[in-house]
Amino acid sequence: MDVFSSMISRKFRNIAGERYEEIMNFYREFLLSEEEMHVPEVSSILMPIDGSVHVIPEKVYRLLSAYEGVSILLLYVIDMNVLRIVEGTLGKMEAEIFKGKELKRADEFLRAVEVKLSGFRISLRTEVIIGHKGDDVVRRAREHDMIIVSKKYGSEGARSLRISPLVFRIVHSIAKPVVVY
Amino acid sequence: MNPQSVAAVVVFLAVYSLIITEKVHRTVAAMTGASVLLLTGIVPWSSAKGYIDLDTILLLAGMMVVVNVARDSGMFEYVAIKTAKLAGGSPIKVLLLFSGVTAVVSAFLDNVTTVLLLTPMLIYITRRMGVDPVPFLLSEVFASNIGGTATLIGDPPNIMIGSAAKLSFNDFVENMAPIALITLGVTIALIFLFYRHSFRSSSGGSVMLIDEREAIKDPALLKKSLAVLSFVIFAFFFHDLLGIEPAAVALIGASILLLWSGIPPEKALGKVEWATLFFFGGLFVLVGGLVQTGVIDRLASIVTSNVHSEAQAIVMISGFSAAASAVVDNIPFTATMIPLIKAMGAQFNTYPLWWALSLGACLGGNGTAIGASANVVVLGIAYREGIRITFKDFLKVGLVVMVSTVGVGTLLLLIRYGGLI
Repeated sequence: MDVFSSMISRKFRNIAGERYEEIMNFYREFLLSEEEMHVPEVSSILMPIDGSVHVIPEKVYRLLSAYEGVSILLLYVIDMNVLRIVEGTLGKMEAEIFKGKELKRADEFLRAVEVKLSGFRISLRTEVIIGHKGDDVVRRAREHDMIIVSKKYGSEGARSLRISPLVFRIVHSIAKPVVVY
Repeated sequence: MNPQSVAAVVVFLAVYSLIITEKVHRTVAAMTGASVLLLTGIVPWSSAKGYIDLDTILLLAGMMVVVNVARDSGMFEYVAIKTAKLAGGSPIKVLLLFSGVTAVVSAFLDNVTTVLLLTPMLIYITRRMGVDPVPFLLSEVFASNIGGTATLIGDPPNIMIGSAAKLSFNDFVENMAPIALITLGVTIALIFLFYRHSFRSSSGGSVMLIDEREAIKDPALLKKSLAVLSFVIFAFFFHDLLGIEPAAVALIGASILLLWSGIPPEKALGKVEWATLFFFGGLFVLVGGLVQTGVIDRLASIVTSNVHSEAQAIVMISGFSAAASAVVDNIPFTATMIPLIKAMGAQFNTYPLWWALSLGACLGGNGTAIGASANVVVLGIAYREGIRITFKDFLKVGLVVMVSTVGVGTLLLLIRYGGLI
């Protein structure tokens, strides 16, 4: 260490004292370490949604704002099996009414999310499908780098559960980062 | 010179050299020097009390209480993270925003606290962006010293000058803030020219993952601190009209915050940097020794016999102060210059000379790595984080910034007070 470096070091110790350590300890509580900084590259995100998801919390929007330039697919899934049951028990007309209501809800929900994401520098696509809430998401996840899903997704039949079994299945079935909110 | 004058000068120079090298803590050096002067009777105790500027010491103490209590709320970390997030992944935005925020915060709080809080965040964000942190750190140092120039409470030399010359907060805002603003622009432009290849576009996106609200440790304290800080700054602007001294404003703010927050006084006062306050006390006695023995008067007569106009005096004081402050801590330097300028009052209107001193003492600190406390703190943090900025690296940019900013500032003073135009 040259003469100036040791002088700066002495002066730093005398001027900053313990305040530097105090501040660094505080920062360490919520800043990522060197190791944690290596975040996987994410260029596309899949966000499955269904009738069990009533709101996307603010923290999810804040998370999305971190991924500038990413492409996001909001995939609204209407359960094909439920439609079949309605059709089989109540008839085709009731099934059509049910489907219409679900499509209307999907449209309104996706529009609201689109408005919230309008200021973000991302490429956003929306899609409504009638299919299998688990299998279709697992299949479509292969085309994306990350999945963001509500813990209530697919829990229409079991609303009292803290986390939907379908979400467990999705997390176990795909080898991609999954954020559960 | 009589033996007493020689002894006062020897003690003074010995303390100065200890302060420069920091072989002994600067507070210990100043207190020891002051003790020698008191023991030998060069400065009698009855006179020493008059030399110690309580206005300066109490203003510093009051602000230390306010800032350190506010710091516990997490307010400044919140500002640092918010700034990083506002800048997103653009290196130019990071440079501009961090320099701007550092300058503004430094104008109202002490520079060391400002850079202690902002530097870790700046290093963090530049690492996330994968860019060279050096230009950003240097810019932060310069911005801190420049921001401190803008107000009465921005930098200790200004507090000392304001107290000695009875200049108000608004006098500083009127005279020094425009210079600070222009020189900040000059500095950022210079940094950009020096390091233009370091500002390639990159991604700092993952910084957006940090929730700045997590930084707020005590929301109630944050609100109270913000209210009191706003009151203190507001009161500084009007202290002249209200007939309240700046030191009283700071102490009133500290009292309100202690009363309102309910923080035990032992805890709040424990964070007052007593070492700095005693450093000031020691310095005032040391410089008092030079006044007492007539050394300052003799120096003033030499200066005034060689300087024939206020314009010349402005150039000489700003230039000499800058050069000296680049090497010596600007606090002892300003303490020495104050009685000298007061003594020059017999021949010149000293009003513009105080601004020349403030300009040189504050911006001169940008010249070298040891010129100001903020430089040492940023370089020290960088070193601990594995970023090496050597004395020579700093000197190459610092000298250019110092000469340019002091040059521009002096020119502005000459236009305003020297009859240049």
